[in-house]
Amino acid sequence: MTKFVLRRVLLMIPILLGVTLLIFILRAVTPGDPVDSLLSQNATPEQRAELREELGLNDPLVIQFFRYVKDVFTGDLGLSYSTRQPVLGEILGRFPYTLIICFGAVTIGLLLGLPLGVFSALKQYTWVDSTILVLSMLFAACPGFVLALVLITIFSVNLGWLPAVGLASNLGYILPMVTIGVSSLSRYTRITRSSFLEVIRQDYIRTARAKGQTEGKIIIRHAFRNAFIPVASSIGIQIGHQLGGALIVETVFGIPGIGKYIGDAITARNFPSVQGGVLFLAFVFTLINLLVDLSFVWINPRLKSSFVYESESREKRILRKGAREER
Amino acid sequence: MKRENNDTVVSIKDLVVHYETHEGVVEAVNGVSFEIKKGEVLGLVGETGAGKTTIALSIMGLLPVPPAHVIDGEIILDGEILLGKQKVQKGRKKKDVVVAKSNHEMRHIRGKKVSMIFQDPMTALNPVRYVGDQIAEVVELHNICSAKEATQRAKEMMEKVGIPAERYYEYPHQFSGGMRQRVIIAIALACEPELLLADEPTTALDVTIQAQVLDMMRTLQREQQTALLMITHDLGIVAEMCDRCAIIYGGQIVECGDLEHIFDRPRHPYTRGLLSSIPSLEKDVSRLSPIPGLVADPMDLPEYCTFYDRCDKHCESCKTGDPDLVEAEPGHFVRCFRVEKGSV
Ligand SMILES: Nc1ncnc2c1ncn2[C@@H]1O[C@H](COP(=O)(O)OP(=O)(O)OP(=O)(O)O)[C@@H](O)[C@H]1O
Ligand SMILES: [Mg+2]
Repeated sequence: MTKFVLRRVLLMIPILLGVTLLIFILRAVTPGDPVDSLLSQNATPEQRAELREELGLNDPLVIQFFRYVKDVFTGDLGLSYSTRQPVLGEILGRFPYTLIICFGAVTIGLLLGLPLGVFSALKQYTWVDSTILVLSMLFAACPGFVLALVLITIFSVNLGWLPAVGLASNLGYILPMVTIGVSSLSRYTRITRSSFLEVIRQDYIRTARAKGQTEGKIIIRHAFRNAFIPVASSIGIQIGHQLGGALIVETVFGIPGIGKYIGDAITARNFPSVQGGVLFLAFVFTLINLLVDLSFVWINPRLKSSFVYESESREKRILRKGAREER
Repeated sequence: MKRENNDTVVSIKDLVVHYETHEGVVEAVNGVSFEIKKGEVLGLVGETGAGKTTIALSIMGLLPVPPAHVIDGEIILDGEILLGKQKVQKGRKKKDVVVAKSNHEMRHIRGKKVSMIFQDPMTALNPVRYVGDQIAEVVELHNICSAKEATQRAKEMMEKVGIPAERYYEYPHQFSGGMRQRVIIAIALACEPELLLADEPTTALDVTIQAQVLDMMRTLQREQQTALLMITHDLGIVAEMCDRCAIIYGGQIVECGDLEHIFDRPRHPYTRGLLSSIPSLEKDVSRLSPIPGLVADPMDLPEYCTFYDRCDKHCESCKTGDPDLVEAEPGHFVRCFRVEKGSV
């Protein structure tokens, strides 16, 4: 188990290096000079050159890249061009907002998606099933900012129940959570439905019926956990989508999370903040996926023996012992 | 609620089951009747598609509806009518309608009075639950007992089927096929049912394991005096395990009797064909004779004797209708015109 975790953690290094490289390449091909946005329009060429030198922008990109990587390893993501504050500190200050929203979105997605999926499967081919399916397609196809605007129109402008922007009160979290949650909700619903339909045709469900088990308990005890396995494996990926979606949704709702931070930094050509933000999100994404994979051991016991040496099946152990004794 | 014989555990009369599919009606079971007494083992032998599983599922009340449709018949288990005809007022006339016990009522019978062992042990256990818990589940369902007592009983059953009780907290994937089938047998017998339906319980296992599992089943069956319906296509297993045997072809029993009737004095050409298609050590193996032709297609059964097309003894008069099951000698029933006419 420790070995598995260690391997996965080490695997994060090349992934993050790759992400950093990608950002550097994008930066090289992106038009615009950070100095333009940092200095006023009537700054002298000398001032500009001085600033470029100070920021290290005159060095070849390769040198800049290696310098950056070296700094990252010491936990230094550089200083923000705009505020002259350490990027890491700024990110950590903003991350909680994004985390809360994503967590809320996953919760909404799962809490509604799982029952809807099961329900839809139980009512397969009825109008209930079709309605759920059509709605979930609709929501999946709807871009986040459109949904955000629709929600703002309904709940803030017309009904006046929830604030449209900002986090003046905790109510401000609700609309962003729902906006991000709904898109994953439809995904969870569809995965749950198809996985559940497959599971209830399995032989062990028939075995449970042959025992005289009630339909309700068959669903809860036997079908649900098996049907959950594919859903769980999609959670990590979904969180990735949500972190990406946060950029737009946070901007629309004026949430000071990482998404808005990166968005603002892009407009200002604030490279250290963009790099740091994206790198941080990539880090969080790989970490979450590692946690999801680890939780799989609990959800799907068949995996346990594949990487937990201790619980290796006794048969194999006995066989190996026997083979040793023969020798 | 009358019983013909106090010893009879299950009696099936004139069971007719069809599957109504898009391609047409599959006449899977066409008027099957048999009885099994307490402690008796009845072998049900037939080729693939003969309707064996359908019969077992009818008793369990687990037929997939739709497409399955019970057209006719009566099933009485331990004095309780699981399936039977009832007069129902329809307009002016009274009509006979086949009524089965509801799913709710059947729940208290399945697992307690009748259990079923399915063909494939690899998929019959839930992969994410402890094997022990899967045995305890059935105990908890039917016996008023605490979870602790159910666990205890499950461990007892594990030992009985030859699995150490320490393996209670393991998952099915940690068990071999033979072990899993043992677990399934433990589940089936945990509540000491009156009737056990074993649907090809060892087909998926290799031969040495087969023998062990069958042996263990036989021991437990004797111990609990369970009536056993042993579904198989292997006459060797019948010879080992059964007291009586019914040969089924095209959803009908074509011959039924004690083992000596079937093995020593088979009357039906199909039974003879089956027997001569078993390789034997004594006989010359090169003259092994498979039955010519294909299995009867239950989508398209003839009006006359179902076996006509493959029968080596058929004559024109065989095409006049469907033969009845007649008693050729006490306890030995055959469905063949030649026996009816007394020519064999
Ligand atoms: N769910 C179903 N829908 C439609 N037809 C079915 C269904 N189940 C079984 N049948 C058909 O009913 C007939 C009898 O099937 P059954 O499973 O009872 O045969 P069997 O004797 O158990 O065969 P096997 O030895 O292969 O298990 C077959 O022709 C089969 O194709
Ligand atoms: Mg079958």
